[in-house]
Amino acid sequence: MKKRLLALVAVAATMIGGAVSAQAAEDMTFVIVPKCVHAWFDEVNKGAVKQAETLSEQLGVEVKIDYRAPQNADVVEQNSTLEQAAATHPDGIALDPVDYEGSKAVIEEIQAQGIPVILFDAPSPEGSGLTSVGNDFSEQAKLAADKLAEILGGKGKVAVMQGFPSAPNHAERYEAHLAALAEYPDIEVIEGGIDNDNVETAQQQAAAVLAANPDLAGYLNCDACGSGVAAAIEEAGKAGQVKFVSMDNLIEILDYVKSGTITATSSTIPQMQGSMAVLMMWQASLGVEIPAKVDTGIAYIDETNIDEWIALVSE
Amino acid sequence: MKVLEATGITKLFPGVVALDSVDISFEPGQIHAIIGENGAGKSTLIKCLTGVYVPEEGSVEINGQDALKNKELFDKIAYVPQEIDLFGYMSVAENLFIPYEKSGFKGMVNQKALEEAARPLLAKFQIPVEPDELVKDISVSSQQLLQIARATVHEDYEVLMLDEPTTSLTTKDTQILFDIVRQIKSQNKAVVFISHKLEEIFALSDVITVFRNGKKVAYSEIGQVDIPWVIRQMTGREVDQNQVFCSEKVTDEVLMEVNDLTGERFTDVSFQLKRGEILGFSGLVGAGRSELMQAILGYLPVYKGTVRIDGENWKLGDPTFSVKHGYIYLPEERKKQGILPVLSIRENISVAVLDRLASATGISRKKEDELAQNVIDTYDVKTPDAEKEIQFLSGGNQQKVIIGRAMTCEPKVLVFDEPTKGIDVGTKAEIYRLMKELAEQKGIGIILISSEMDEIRKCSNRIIALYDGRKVGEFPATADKEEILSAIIGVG
Amino acid sequence: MNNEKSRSSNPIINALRKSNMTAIGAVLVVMILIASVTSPYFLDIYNLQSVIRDLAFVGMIGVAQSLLLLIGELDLSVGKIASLCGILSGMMMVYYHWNPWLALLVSLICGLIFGAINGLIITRLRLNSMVATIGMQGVYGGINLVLTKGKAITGIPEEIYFLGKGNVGPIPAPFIFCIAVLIIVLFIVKKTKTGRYIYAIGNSREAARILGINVDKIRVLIYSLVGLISALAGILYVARLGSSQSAIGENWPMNSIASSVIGGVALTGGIGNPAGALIGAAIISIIQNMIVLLGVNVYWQSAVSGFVVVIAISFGSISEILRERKARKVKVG
Repeated sequence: MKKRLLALVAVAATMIGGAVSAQAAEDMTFVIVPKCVHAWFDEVNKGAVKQAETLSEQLGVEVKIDYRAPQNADVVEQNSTLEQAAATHPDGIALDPVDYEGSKAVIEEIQAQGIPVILFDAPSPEGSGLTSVGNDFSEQAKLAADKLAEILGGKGKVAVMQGFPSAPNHAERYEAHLAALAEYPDIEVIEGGIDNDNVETAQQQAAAVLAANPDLAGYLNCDACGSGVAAAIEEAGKAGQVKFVSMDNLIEILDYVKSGTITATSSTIPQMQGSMAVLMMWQASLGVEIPAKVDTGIAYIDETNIDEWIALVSE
Repeated sequence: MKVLEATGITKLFPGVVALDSVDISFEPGQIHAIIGENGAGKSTLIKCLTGVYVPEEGSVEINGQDALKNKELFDKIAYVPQEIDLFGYMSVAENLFIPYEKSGFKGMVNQKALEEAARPLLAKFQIPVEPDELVKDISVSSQQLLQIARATVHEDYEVLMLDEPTTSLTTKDTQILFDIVRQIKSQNKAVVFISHKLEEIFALSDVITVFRNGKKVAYSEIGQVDIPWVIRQMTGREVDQNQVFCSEKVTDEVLMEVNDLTGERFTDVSFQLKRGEILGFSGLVGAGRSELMQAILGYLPVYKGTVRIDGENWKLGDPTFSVKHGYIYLPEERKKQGILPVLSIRENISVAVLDRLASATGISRKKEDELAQNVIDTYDVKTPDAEKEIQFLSGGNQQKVIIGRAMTCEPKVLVFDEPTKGIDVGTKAEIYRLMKELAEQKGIGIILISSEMDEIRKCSNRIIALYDGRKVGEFPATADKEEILSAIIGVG
Repeated sequence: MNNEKSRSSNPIINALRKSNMTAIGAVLVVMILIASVTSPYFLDIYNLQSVIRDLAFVGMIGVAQSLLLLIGELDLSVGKIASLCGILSGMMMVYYHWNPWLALLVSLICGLIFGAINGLIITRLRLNSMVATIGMQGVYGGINLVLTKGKAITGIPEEIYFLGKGNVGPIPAPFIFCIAVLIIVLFIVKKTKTGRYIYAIGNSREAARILGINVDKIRVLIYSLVGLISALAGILYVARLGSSQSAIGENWPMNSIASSVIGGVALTGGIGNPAGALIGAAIISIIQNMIVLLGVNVYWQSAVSGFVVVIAISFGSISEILRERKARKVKVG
């Protein structure tokens, strides 16, 4: 599998061998609290469980993952999930915050009990001092924009669709798209609509953008609703004519890469985030100092490796 | 000196002249009764006089100033509508003073202050409730008085209009109300009193104006006229107050037999209804008469007992069955349970017999129109056409449509629950005549629930008295009024 | 009382006025004119097709939803029923290799059953329709998540694609279904006993029961029909996307209610025409299309479309207010 892993901090390898069980043989539990129930977080969990199994073998104690997904991406619901998790006195909590400010007090309370807290899938908020495990969304977006520019030969009209503006990663990708495209003087950037993280809206808006811009050459988006944009391109009969580089590796998006309507897409590597998060929690629980930022990298997907990815995602 | 004067008021509705150049004026210190059949134009006049409607022609002057130009003048008129329109889930005190700005409560509303201010008013109107009670929990009679108290809270009113204020009042409360009205009159306010109850009008008012078909037909000082004169003016004909309407073709055949029926508000009730008979049910409000009939319909639950109609064991708890097999109930709450307000007369009638009108390809509009026209003609419904929304008909005409609808279902037993509530003298007689005809000619049995002792004695062949859900007596139509009365109040 | 007051003597004007769809139909026409003039791309055949294809989905659910509004109730679970039925059809076709047509038929029946379940719990347990369907949308959405873990089902047989993506002549296929739904619903409403009973129940549920109308049976029937039509919209969307996605239909409950209300169906029951819901859906879709065509800044879009929707709803009552004011002026002056 040809994955181009960018700037992966290779902390893992050294650590696993390092601290062997001089500790009391006590079972350990690490909690993972995602934003909500979602397939992407299931992948994070898979990586975490795998890492826990490795640790169990190495340490000779049972290392368990307690995966607690709130039903909705709601800060209040997430806070109560956090509190319930803390009540079980785990050895660490990894959190993907819905709204860091809204959870700040709860997080500090949990830390005061001596339970290490780290973040994943989100940048570390300034002054929080929290370790963050995740990928660089700006990097992911820049990669897509540069790829599109390369395909277009550095010229033409490009539409950028905004996602859900209050989601930090969507906003980050949007800014990065615009910044990257600004490097190409012959590319004209137009607004590509806003889909609020909804496939139907993506399709509706893309259809109108395509109608209003018969000379459109390329499309970029910021969330996992690329299948809506792709469907609009197909309905307009412009598959192949309008080049579309999308985000994320959901199966319906990969299908469009396979059929060629989506030229390329990229993926965060959720399993890696889960795995790294567990390692960081384990280290922190031992009192070892851990890095402020762990970058788990971006995978790039196009026609060359699409079959491998489809096989992987369909598992 | 006239405080309120209307000149040449004309108000048109499609196909109807609701008011035809009416002149009327009201003087301070005088109780002015207005009477007329339903649809004579009283309500429309009131709406023109209170600024709800703008008349097509004519002027309304309050204290000599043009009120149509200066709408604030209408604040001088305190209007108490016929229907109770209080806020059920707010306290008595809150209801009295809302909207607070007008009743002198500025800024924040202090519950204690409201309640203290309410006490003297409640005492004055002799309303036996506490200021902090919820309005939905007090008696209907108290609600009615409270509504009048509310209208007079801001003291700068000069005209008090009472629209049928006594329909829900007991005799005692009616007396209290009359005392208050006389007191208000002595404060040199003008009082407008609209009522169907002629005795009350003669007991209370100073002058009387009679309306018929949108026109003012008579005006007099009350001392110079008598009840037959008023009826003659209202109806344009003589109505014999002493006429009786009981069925003359009662058979010996038992049409309906109820045995030991027990339900929510009635216990062990048994009775028989004969074909061609009008059977009266007398009792106080809450005695369980309506509940009994609704339970037989299947609308309310039955705990035990049996019903047989026309030899058939009745299936209880299923209104669809009851209606289909000929037991039809005409509810007292005509507006809530009888009419379908925003549908046309045609649709209100046809909805009961769609089986007959519908085929695989749809409802036959032709048959439907014929049916509606037939009901309008047979029952003398006053309307420009069958397409008028039924909510715009007068109460009496709504009642006729509902009776007509019931008859198209070919009933065996027809229950009239307070059929003349809010209906004027002339139309009342028409409804009585209709009941008599139906019983005699269609061979059906009629059950009449009525709280008016005169009505029930005039129309019934037999009278059953209910008290607190139990049958406490059965009387021939000729029975003494006092005898029935003592049965329904639980003595004797 | 208002409409009594404002009637004129001209029967044609009265007829138009009585049909509360006239004002909103005029709004639609005006919007189409404005759209055609301000954007050269609005009348582009592809753009028109995509707008019409869009409005077909909310339109057909709106037409169904308007039946519920007519009896004074509503169903907030339509979107979740749609997506669940879409997922079920996808599973039958892709995982179990059923004949696609059989799978679609079974999914429609599932929608009918889900709707009937809604109706039965609401009537039998005497629940408020809004609260009950908020609960049930959680149930249907939850089943969806259990089945899919949020993942889409791809590999839908291409033979059904034309149901969602295809055109009949120039007309998008989903719109044909939408019109068929409208015709059936209008037939029910205007020509059958059930239709008359719907209006009767909406006018007064108590009066309807006393008249011997089996009110609960009709309510369950309508909920079932709403479930069926939601399922239809759901599987058509599967055909349109070529995959079963669990997140579709999120905006359908609110948009279907908004369409009906814009189209003159009263939330309180008894008043309105289901055809109005389709006009309402068209207005919403055109607004959303126009906003993108005219290049409204993405952050402003939601505010602008909300504002235009409010204007569209107010149009009827504003003209009423103006007419009253004019009448008064003539009278006084």
